[in-house]
Amino acid sequence: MKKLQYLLIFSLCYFTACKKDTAQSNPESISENQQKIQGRWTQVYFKRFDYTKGNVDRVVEGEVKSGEYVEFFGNRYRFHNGTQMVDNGSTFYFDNGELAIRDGNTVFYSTIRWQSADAFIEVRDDGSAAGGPENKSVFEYSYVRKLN
Amino acid sequence: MKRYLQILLFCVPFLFVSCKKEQQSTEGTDQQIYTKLQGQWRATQQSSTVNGSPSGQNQNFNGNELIFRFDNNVLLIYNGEDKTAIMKKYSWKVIDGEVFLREQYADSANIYTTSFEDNNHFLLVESYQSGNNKITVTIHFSRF
Repeated sequence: MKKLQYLLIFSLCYFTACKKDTAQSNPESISENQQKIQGRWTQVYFKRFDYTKGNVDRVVEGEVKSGEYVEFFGNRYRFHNGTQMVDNGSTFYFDNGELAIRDGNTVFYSTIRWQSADAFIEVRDDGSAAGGPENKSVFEYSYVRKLN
Repeated sequence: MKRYLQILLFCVPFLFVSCKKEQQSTEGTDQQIYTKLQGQWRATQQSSTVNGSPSGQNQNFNGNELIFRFDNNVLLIYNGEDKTAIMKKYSWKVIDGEVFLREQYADSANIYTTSFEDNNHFLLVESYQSGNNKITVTIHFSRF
């Protein structure tokens, strides 16, 4: 009986202490961005900045009415293509301030600029696609919180 | 009451040590991989499997055909026959045992696993799904 008491108290201590440690060691669980971005977001506007020789020489922008939206739930990332939710098994986290969406063995990075608690701009800057930062396109996607 | 306090006092040091170990084990593995990868490596062979079976498409590299140089958090990939021309520059890090390689200016990173045969030989493994097939590409490296 005494041994059982020892075991019970030990188990209680162990699981309580270790669970707490694991949660604290995981930056995802305490990331402020991770918390703020939870929910569904509709893309409403985009801007594309085309760079030539390091300078912006063209800006293309417009409203988005495709009905697409994205969902951040826990560490899961999914998107809805307008007619159905696509479950692609992606996860997300914030890595040194960048939003990192992992799909299989690839991680896609972008920067989030918060406008308010219900609006943010996602910036995607892939300089390498055009061979470097001198000639590239930077995309800015505006999202607002989806109401339903 | 005294007995319970005794039990608690007995548990605390052990719990502290075991939980710390649990927390540090992943970090320790990552640090080991990070340290082992530092330096200059020469690719010797590339092989692949489809759904676990060899694809039969092996490629042997010449001595200096493909060089990986891990220098702190920068990875330079170049053709050793012309060492002045760096083919590609990456940043890299190890998270949960996986190696993340991100090309300079890129908005994405590819994830690999590593396997060390010894301190001078390692395998870089990329696995991905293509349709219904699971493809695994392995590059063999030796240190020089």
